[in-house]
This record gives sequence, structure tokens and C-alpha cells, in this order.
Amino acid sequence: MLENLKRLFSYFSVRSFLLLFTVVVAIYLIIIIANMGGYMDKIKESEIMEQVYNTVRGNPALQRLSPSELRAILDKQIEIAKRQAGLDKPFITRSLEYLIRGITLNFGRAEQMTSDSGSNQVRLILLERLPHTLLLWGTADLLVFFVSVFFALALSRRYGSFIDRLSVSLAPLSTPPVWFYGILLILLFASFLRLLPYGGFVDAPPPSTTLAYVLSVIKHMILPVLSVFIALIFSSLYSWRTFFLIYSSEDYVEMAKAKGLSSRAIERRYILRPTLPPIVTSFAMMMISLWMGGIVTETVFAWPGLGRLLYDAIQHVDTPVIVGSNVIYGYLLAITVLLLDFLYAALDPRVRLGGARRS
Amino acid sequence: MAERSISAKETVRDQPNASQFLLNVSNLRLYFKTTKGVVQAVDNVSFSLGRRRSLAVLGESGCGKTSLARAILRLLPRNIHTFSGEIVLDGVDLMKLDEERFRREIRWRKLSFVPQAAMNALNPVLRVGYQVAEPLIVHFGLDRDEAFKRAEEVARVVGLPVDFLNRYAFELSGGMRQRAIIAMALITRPELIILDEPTSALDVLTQANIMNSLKKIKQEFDVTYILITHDIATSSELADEVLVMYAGQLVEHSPAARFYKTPAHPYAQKLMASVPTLREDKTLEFIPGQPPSLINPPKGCRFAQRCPYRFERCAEDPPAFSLDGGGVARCWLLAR
Repeated sequence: MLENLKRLFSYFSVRSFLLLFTVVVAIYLIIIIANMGGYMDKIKESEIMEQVYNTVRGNPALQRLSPSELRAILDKQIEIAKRQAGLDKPFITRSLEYLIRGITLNFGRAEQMTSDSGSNQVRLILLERLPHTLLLWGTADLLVFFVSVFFALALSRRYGSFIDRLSVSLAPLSTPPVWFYGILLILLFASFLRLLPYGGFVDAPPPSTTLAYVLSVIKHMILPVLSVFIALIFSSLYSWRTFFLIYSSEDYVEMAKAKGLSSRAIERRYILRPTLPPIVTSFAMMMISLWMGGIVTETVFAWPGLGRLLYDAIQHVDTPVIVGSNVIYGYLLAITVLLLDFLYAALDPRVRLGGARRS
Repeated sequence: MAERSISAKETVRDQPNASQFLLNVSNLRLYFKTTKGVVQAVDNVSFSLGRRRSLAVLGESGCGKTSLARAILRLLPRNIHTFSGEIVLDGVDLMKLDEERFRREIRWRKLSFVPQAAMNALNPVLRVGYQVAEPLIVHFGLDRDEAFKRAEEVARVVGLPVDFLNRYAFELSGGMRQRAIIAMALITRPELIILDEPTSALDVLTQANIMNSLKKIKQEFDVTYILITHDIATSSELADEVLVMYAGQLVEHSPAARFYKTPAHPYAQKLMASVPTLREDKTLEFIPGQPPSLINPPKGCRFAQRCPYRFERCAEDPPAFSLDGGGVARCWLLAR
């Protein structure tokens, strides 16, 4: 038991370190890209210069100075303004400062966007959106996972039956992306049947009682969650059912049968349990691709989450918000991978780091 | 000599009455459906086995010896065409039990199984000790600690270091894995253990070790073995009786002492002649041709086409003739 915990701990710490390194590299790349490799600084510099020229020119007190005196004043003003904006240091130094601020989630102020509560602190804008994203995608992921495992196991039990063949032939339905089903469902349930809202997070104006508020949120979640579910369920059912089939032809399953275990015990301990590691892996891949696809889906459903925020920030070229939401996405991905890795190590005793395999 | 067609049950000596038999198999048939036709994997096999005896089932690949074991164990694939006959274990007709009763009353209580020493007979994500102890928990309702204590005792008997019980299968060598499975098979003290090529995936030293352990276990635990193997040398270590199969049928069932010296059936003779011996210098023989397809087996004696002593009567199906010194063999040569 203790040995197991030690193994898990060392695995966990090495994995966290590696993932942190990945996140740092990713954030730095985002910073360089979002600043267009320093080109954003030039744009800002010319903005500052124009501003200073305009103020100086518009100041009647300075009108009578000779051009060289005026030039000196302009240069001084521009230098002060640049120093204020932090543009006096080279881009490389500043990009590293950005990096440290980014890692510590200290993104400064947004250029144009504000949070719903009116703040222009990027951190506040992000924190306002994060729970919405976690709620929507967490619900959808867990739903897909448990429904798939349950039904895939049931299908593998009925290998070759009508329902099994039907679900296999439905697998191509997972080809269209989530937002495609989103548009389809909006058309059907919102536009045509008028049963559910087109999008958004909660009714406007928001209901006053907590219960009504929760119900309203659930009503708004149905369509996005359903479109994620439809887009993923068929492929995961198909592939997991195949995993279960492969693993149920292992020798130890037959051995368990010879031992006289009930079919439920065989299914639980000898089929489901050894199959979980590959299933968790495929679930991790699925979740990661969902985080990515969130941008379009949240926009389609006007869901006020991180994906929608990133979309808006790109539209407004609001660099701090773009960097901020990307950093949050980076952290979310890293945490997802870390948790699933941890789960994997807990599920499969063969997972070890560095240690030679005795065999 | 008069023609005698006697069932194996009455002929094996030193077994005076039938009630002493632990296992009675009669007219067992196991046919599989395949896309090419019906494969007659086990065709009309009858034999009996006394308590505390060990029976080696010999034959080349595809002769139906593993199917025979599977039929007794009821570990059958889905594509069954025919599964008929009588299997009486310890007075209970197994064919009359439904799956649930077979599971509760027979599996591992009376009948254990040791498969080939493959990687895969142990669950990779459960500790070896749990898997060894599991039958006690499932069938006898023992609590975990008690079951583990028993597992430790059995591990000592089979030569598995006790701390290996805390490990996972991938941490054990092939030989240790096989010992763990033997421990698992013994833990409920079953009447009959069927060993399907228990040592064929192991190196010779480990083979010898395991065979010695099996001998020791047989004395200590009073078990009956059915040892399925193609390795005649290994089988001679353990067997009291030998059953030779050819093309899905039983061709000879004899006491080991007689069989290894003078096998009766021509196929058994050829089989013995293909084994190198230590003390005499002999040219190893092989049998020309190959076994017939089990989809449409030839009429009459199935070995006839490869048999050097073939004559007209071989076109008819030979009955089981009893032999001097005990045993039966199905060959017309023995009719004279």
C-alpha cells in the first residue's frame, strides 16, 4: 500500500513538472504570437507618437517655440509616454516579463473589453467566464463517459446482435463536428418547435429565486450538451465496445469463468477493470479535443464561456485578453492531462516511471 | 481370439468397480460449426478415470485433446454444433447441470483448470494473491484475511515465495506465474485438475521444477490429474494412465507402465518411435502424411491412410479391444 502511494507520488510529481514545462513553453509561444513577434509594440509606439504630437500641437502655449525646441519637447514627451507604457525596454526582456505575469495569471488590463460587472481587469473577465465553461464541458464529458462505458459494455455482451450491428453502423454519425449538431438542434428545437432557447446562459432578466435560476440554466444547457453528446457518443460507443470485445477474449477472462465467478464479477473485475486504462486514454484525447472545439460551439450557442471570450477577443484584437484566455486554456489542458495520467497510474499497476520492468 | 468390443470402463484393471471411478466419460461428442463445415473435434470418446490417478492425454496438434479438456470443463466457444454424451464426475452427470449450477457446484469446487503457461492467464491489474484466494471468497464465502492465509499455505506447497502474492502478474517470471496458477487450482482442494500443456511455454529447467512440484502435490493433496500434452517425455513423469487421441478419436487408453514399453496401437507405436531416448541409439521415425481433416473424416479407421499395417478391415470403424496388461485400443490388428 505504502509502496503504491510512493509510486503514485513520484509519478505525479514528475508528470506535473513536465506538464508545467509544457505550459510555460506554450504560454511563451502565445505571448510571441499575440504580440506578433514584437510588431504589436511598433503599432503601440506609433499610436503613442501620434497622441503626443496631437497634444503638443494642440497646446497653444507651445505654438511659438522654434522647431528645434518643439522637437526636444516632443522627444522628451514621447520618451516619458513610452516609459510609462513600458516600451523603453527591448521586446525580449518584456516578453519574459509577460511570461512571468502570464504564468502567475497576472494579465493586467484589457484594452477594450470589460467583464459583465464592468471591470477591465483581464483576470476578473476570465474568472467570470471560467465556471460557465467548466459547467458545460464537465457535464457533457461526464455524461458521454458514463453512458458510453455502460452501453459499450452492454453491446460487447451482445456481440453480433441487431442492436450491436445498428450502433456500429451509426458510428459515422460522429464525423460532423459538435457545432454542426448545435446548429441542427437549434433549428429543430428553438426555431421550429420553440421548446428551448436559442442560446445564452440564463433567461433575461435572470429569475430571482435560486431554484428558478438553476432550472433556467439547465434549460439553456440542454441543447449544447445534447449536441456534444450526439457528436461523440457513436464513435466512443463503437471504439469502447471494441476494446471490451478485445479484452474479453483474454485468457484470464476464461480463467475467471473456469473459476466459477458469476458473470457480473467477471465483467467487473476481469473485463471492465483491465480495459479501463485504454478507455481512460481515449477519454482524455476526447476531452482535450473538446476543450479545443469549445470556441466554435460556445459561439454558436452564445454560451458566455472562455471559448466565446476568446472569439470576441480575437475580433477586438484585445491582446491581453487573447493571451489570458489562452493561458487559462493551457492550464486547463495541463490539469486535464495530469488528472487523467494520475487516474491511469492508479488504474494500471504496470505504469511506472523510469523503473525497469521486472518480468 | 474372439472379437471383444468392450467399453473402456470395464477394462482398465486395478479398478474393480465403477463407483470408484472419479470420472466417467462416455460417447462424448463435440462438433464445431465453421464456414467450411462441421469440425468433429471430439468424436465419440469414452473413458474412465479412477481417483488419485493421473491420466496423460497425448496426441499431435489438432487431434482434439484440448477440445476434450474444454468439453469436460465446459469452456466452449460460441460456434458449437453438437455437444453430447455423458460426463459423470464424482457421481454427478455434468451434462444435466445448467450453467448456473455447473458454476456453483462444479467449477473450482470439484474441477480446476491449469492452462498453458501463457502470460495471460492472470489478470494484469489484480494482485496475484487476490486471484489465488478468490475462489475461496467466491465459493466458500471466506473473508479476505482467511482466504489470504490459505493462499499463503498453498503458495508454500507449490514453491511460490509468499511475498510474490503481493505482486502483479507482470512482475513474475513465467514459471512463477504458472506456480501461482497451480496454487489457484489447488486452493479449493478440488477432486480433479485438468492441466492443459502446463509446461509447454517454459524452459526445460522450469519444466522439470514444475513437474516435480506437480508430483509432490499429487501425493499431498490426493488429487486426480488429467494432463493434456504433446510432450511424451514430460507426460511419462506424471502419468499413471495414457490416453492417445488421433483425429478427434480415442485410439488407445492404457496403463502407463505398459504403454511406454509396448504401445498397442500402430499410431501410438509411431508416436513413441518419434521420441529420442537417452540410453539406446535409435533412428527417430516420423509418420508420413498428415492427419485427416476433421470436417469430412474418412470412413473406418482414421489412421488407416498413414498406417503401415493397413488391410481390408481398416475400412470399417474399429471398436475398442481390450489389451493384455490392461487398457483398450481401437485397431483391427488387435482383433486376432
